[in-house]
Amino acid sequence: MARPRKTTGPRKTRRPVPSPKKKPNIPVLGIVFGAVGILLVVAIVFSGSAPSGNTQEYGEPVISGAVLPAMPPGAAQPGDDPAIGLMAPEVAGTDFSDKTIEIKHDGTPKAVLFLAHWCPHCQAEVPRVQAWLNDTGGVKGVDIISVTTASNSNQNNWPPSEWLKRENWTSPVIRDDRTSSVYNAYGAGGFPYWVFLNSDGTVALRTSGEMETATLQKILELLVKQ
Amino acid sequence: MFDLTTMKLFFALLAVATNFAVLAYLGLAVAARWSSGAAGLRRRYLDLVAGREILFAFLVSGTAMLGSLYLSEIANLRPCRLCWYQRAAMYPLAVVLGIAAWQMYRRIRIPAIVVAVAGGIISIYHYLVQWFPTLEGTSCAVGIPCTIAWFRVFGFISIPYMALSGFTFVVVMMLALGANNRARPPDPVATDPPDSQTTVPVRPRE
Repeated sequence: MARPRKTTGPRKTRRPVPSPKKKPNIPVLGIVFGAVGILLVVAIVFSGSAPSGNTQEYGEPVISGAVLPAMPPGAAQPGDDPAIGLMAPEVAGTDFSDKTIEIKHDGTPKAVLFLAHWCPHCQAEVPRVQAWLNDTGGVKGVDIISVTTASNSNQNNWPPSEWLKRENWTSPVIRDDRTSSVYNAYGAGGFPYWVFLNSDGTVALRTSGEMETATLQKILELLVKQ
Repeated sequence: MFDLTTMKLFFALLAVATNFAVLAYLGLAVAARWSSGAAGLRRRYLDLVAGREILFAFLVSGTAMLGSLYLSEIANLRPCRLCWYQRAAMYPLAVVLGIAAWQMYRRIRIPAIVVAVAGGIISIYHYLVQWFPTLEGTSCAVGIPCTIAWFRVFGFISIPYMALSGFTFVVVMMLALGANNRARPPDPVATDPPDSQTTVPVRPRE
């Protein structure tokens, strides 16, 4: 785009004599677009090589079924959650050793736990739940499946695989993908985020935030009784 | 190829590029008070953007708008409350600056500065909240927390940082527009023979 034309005056025909000191026309816009293009190439080149060591932290889970509505922020009452009673999407994913882990509506109630490695509340939740599992053996008849999601090498406690190994986490793990597809499909309710499924695959309860193991045990027992 | 890893790095590089443009402008503006060399450089900077200030501001705010739509709609990074306030500032800026660039409507300067400063203040707050979550008094347990940075490229460029980069760039371009407006009238007039000149100033209508 050139400098603005002065077309406002009545004497349009008279153009000012070009300034003899006029600077050489630098193609500023061309330079700008060229620089942006170079930056894009740089981004492609560097991001292409960077995550080679991190790829095993992300999976490629396949999600089937309708996405759950988003977890309403600050839903204090379970009755406020529109997802309750809805069919949860099924997920076929893999864990850190590429073993297939699935969330399937196979007649067994499920407790799905979404974990973000950088979230301090998840970092507190994992050892507490694991200690409870070690002490009590959990609740028979309910599968606990964890999903490592929102994983991000720029954040603390990276990588999630090391973290869960360090905590001796025994529950199966599904690696979410880079865009947290599973987490979003389940309504993205913060971290840690529990989604409890009835045996038929419908949502029984979704809770956001740390949970006391006594509460967890009660919920799981209720799920089995149904 | 155009996945989040690539695009966030691309956006971060763009943000850094605008940071340089902003810091250069501000640095030269300050240094020009003491040093004639800096004043000359400042003049060259202003000449480079002359007539294109609004266009550049539009390009950056438009890129910020498209980038934020990419992050939310394609990369599924859900915008939090504070993100929405920044969008409320950035999106109109992009649209209005686009129209203003097209029509060379220079009086967009003040409204654009006001909106960009408002958005920038929210960005600063959001950026601080990401480093000091207790400012918001919430935890990761909230629906879409403003306190958690989805990513930090190079360890510090999170999404509100990118927004802030865009806002400050718009402000600086509008400052440059003002500076060029002030500098413009004598420039063409001086080269014209005074007699052929009407008394109507040759400044474009604002």
